Amino acid sequence: MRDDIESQLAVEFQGGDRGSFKRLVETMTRPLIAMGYRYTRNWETARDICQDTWIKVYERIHQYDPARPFKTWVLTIHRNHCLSHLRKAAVRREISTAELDCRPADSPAGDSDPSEDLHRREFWPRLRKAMTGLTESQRRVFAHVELEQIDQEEAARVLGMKYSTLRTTLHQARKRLAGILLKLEDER
Amino acid sequence: MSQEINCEDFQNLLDALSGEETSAENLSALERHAASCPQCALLLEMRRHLSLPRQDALLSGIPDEYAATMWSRVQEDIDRRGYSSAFAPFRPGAWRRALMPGLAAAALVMILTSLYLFLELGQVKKRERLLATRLERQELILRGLSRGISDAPSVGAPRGFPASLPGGGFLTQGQLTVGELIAYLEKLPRETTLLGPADSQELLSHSPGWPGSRPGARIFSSIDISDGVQAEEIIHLARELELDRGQKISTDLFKAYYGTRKPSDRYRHRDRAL
Repeated sequence: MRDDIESQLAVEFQGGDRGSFKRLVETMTRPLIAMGYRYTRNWETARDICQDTWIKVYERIHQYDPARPFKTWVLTIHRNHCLSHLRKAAVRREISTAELDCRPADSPAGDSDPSEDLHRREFWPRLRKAMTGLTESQRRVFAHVELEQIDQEEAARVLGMKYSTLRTTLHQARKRLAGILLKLEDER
Repeated sequence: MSQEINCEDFQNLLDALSGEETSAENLSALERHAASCPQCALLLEMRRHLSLPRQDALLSGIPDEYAATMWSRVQEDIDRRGYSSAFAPFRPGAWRRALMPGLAAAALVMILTSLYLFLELGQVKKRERLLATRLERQELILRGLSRGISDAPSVGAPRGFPASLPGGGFLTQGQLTVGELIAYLEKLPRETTLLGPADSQELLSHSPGWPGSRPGARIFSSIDISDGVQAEEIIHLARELELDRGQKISTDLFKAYYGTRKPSDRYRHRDRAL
């Protein structure tokens, strides 16, 4: 028996048990949607990205190495999907600011300041655009720490880099983003 | 922390902003620095916009129907893509693993075949070069011979091998096999006189020293030279005497004869060549 239930279910799914796949979806959907929300600030988009991730898992389950935790494997696929969505959205500007659900998830509707909401809505597309100016490494570090809000030491472990390297990369990413955001503000 | 901080300190404090240890004093230091540094002000603003509730609060904020309907949506998507008929899930990995030894063997065979073909190609090219050289030489010989004959004043003239050939035509090569000579002669009209009577006599009278084993000596010692030497006579004699077609004849004999005008000079030259 494996240490974690998800990896056990994944191995059963590799063997052809579709019921195990259903249980995986039911168990892990909420954390995946939450992660998607951190990247998109939109519940519906987060749900769609999560659905795409499950389809990818279905297609690639033969590539999963049972020696490694299934959860890590799925989160990596999902994170790549989220980043890819950010890049595409920044290029196509397909999500209007009105669609952004910037109200904090745990605050009831009508509880937040409308002008603050508007400010958030305006800020988010600019940030998404500015992120396209980061290097791949900077974008990944920034996404882990600032968007997913993973503890920095944990993020360094997940990304397979030294803690000091992660901090340096994060500080460079922030500086660069601030520079791009300032430029974008000047253009407005 | 009452003293002013720089941008590096600002980022370090920003890292601690979400932690438990964030104090009002730190926050105040951040805001003071941000007031004088537009870049850091943006970072602080960004942090405020990006701040989210804790994970458990975020999870509970997910609309219930999104989580509840995920399986049916995924199942529908799988069916729409036609994956369900292929269930269990695709296992190309297993196929790939099974094919791997075959693919490796095929790759090895291809590498060895390529190597063999490469080496063989080298040999073919070498043979081709040799053949080309040989063909070119023969072509030169034929061209020279035919030019010599056609340029001669007339067929049947005292000299059929021709004055225009000295040093050229097939005489340019050091040796000629009996077979090659016969082949060339067969292309000529049979009655072509290659040497006139006087020249034939003169040649023979100066050739006592020819070794008897040489084909030239054998041919010339067996023919009637009263009307000169014709192409057909040489062909006939070569067959009668069963000369080895592979045996080589030195073309110096011909050069000696055609290379100069004065008989005395001709044969002095020929003797030296022999």
